[in-house]
Amino acid sequence: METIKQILIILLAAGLIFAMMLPLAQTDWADEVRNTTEMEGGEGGEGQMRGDMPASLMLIMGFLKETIIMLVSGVITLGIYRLIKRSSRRRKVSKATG
Amino acid sequence: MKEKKKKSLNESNFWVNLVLFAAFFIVSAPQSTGIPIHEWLSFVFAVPIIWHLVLHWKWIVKVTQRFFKPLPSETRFNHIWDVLLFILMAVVFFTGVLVSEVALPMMGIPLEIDPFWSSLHNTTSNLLLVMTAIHLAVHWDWIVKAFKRYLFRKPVSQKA
Ligand code: HEM
Ligand code: HEM
Repeated sequence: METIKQILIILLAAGLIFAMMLPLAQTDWADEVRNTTEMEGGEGGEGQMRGDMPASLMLIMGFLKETIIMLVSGVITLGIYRLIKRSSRRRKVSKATG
Repeated sequence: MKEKKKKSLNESNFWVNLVLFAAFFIVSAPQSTGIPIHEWLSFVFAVPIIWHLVLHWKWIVKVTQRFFKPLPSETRFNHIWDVLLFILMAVVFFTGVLVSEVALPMMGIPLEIDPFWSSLHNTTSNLLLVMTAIHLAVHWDWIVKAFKRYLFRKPVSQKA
């Protein structure tokens, strides 16, 4: 019962985000995006490249692109995270030892 | 008994997270899988995401209630990040539905695709990759410990 309540709250929150997102289509910004993608002659994204690439290369490229994006952002975050942790630990130690 | 329950919750967290990661990885590469698999799997992907949130429900409620009280900065950051991640995930999912080329037409709902939603789906889904990578990086220690404990069955320190 508790779980069903939790799932309903999650779905409700997602539904609210959906309802708030819909009016964006009527904004000037949306028109601007439509004009730009029209000028570029496509829907954007990598869809345009699909035609000129052999299927086997496409298979690798999709996963490769996502792996690189995730690895680079993950490793940078891990570096910053460790630096912050180390410096806050050092601050604590120096406070304790005066 | 309590310890046993806590442990199994952690173990179920691990398996759900593993399924979640595998599904996320496949869903996020439509160039590789093709659009039909991308669309159908995205619907299925909602299940482990919701499950992931249900398993962390106590944490979410506790930290939300304490948000304006003193909290460790790491916990506060995680809470803000998780909220942003949820919003972005919802936007990616719904913009995906709005540009559906296969699943919705097959369900008898033909769509006229608005390039605005299409562009928003592409941009936000790429941003989601970066945000999820950051979510995983801040939980890296947990991931390493969980792999050692539940997959390789190696003894690790209790504090995971
Ligand atoms: C809608 C998107 C997501 C939301 C709102 C979300 C939320 C959360 C929450 C509330 C926690 C526990 C609290 C904390 O941050 O320390 C957590 C932990 C975690 N999440 Fe997510 N998450 C999302 C997506 C993902 C995805 C896609 C993955 C995997 C690819 C993932 C992997 C993890 C891991 C490994 C942990 C730490 C271990 C654990 O306690 O389970 N999350 N997430
Ligand atoms: C939360 C889950 C989802 C994620 C992580 C996701 C991710 C992505 C990504 C990374 C792309 C490629 C963007 C690019 O070319 O740079 C894409 C394209 C696409 N997605 Fe999704 N998506 C999700 C849900 C959905 C859903 C539910 C549908 C439809 C039912 C959908 C339909 C599409 C379509 C039709 C494209 C191709 C659009 C184009 O080439 O312009 N997606 N998605």
